Amino acid sequence: MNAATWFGADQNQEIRFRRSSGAGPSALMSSDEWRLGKRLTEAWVSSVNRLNDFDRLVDDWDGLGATAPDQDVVQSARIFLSLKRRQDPESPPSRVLAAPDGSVVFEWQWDSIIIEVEIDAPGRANYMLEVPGQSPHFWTERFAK
Amino acid sequence: MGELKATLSCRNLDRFIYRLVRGVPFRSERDAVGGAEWLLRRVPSGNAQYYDPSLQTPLHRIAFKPNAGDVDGISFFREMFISPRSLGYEGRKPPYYVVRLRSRQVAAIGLRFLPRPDPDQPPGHLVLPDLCFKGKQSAAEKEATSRLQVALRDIASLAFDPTAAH
Repeated sequence: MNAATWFGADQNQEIRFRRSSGAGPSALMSSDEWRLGKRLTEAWVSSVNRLNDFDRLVDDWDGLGATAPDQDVVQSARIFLSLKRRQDPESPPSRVLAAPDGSVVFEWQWDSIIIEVEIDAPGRANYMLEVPGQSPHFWTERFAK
Repeated sequence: MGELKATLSCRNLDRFIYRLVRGVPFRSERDAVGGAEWLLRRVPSGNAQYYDPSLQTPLHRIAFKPNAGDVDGISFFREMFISPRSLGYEGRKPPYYVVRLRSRQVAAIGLRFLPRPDPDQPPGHLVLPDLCFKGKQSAAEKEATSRLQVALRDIASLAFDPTAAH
């Protein structure tokens, strides 16, 4: 299992199918499609804004001793996010988190399936896939810094 | 100085009354943790999104991730010594969500917990030495740590929600 499998043919395709089922091909965009597109755009913008907020975090931002995210890591996370948006514009992250050790974490939740990507160094994405009833799968990928 | 002493003794009295109400007036924070005890952990609220009730799995495993100061392990607190609500308002950036885990279940995951009373921390402080900050980790170590954090997430339940508190 790797990211290409995940973002390509497996669960995501099924989810995309479910999302689009009922809306047949049409030259004109239906109001439902327009609303979905608007919602997706807002979700992506919200994720980018979250990352921009991380630039302003300082050490101990949580009052429990967290390290502020490294600027290079945040910048790399922006690149990763833009890559994902190009690959799969219909799947913005469910949440974007600043971890207490300074890394940046993206999470996608679809029903009971969870995909997490942790950027802990520029250009390095640590994936974790959780499927109910299975032990989590882990893998690491490099991407352009 | 006198004011400080008065504050401290008031605090001790509060702690004693709390233990009295729970039927354990003479238990010490240094006593070993019983299997049926509840352990509490603070989770950042506000915009942190570590706990997002709109998601099917609201709690994220990084709520159990050590920070650079957790060299002896991540902090938990024993409900025997502090209520979830009180804990939710303790700390430098309150309020916090507070999640609750049964100590027996934590032990079943293979994690040890050590009572570490600390005057700078709320009452009932303990640490999980198996989840301590290690700086750079190998991929295998990261994976093992993430598995433990996922296991903790799965047995945790919300004990205090500051957004619902009045």
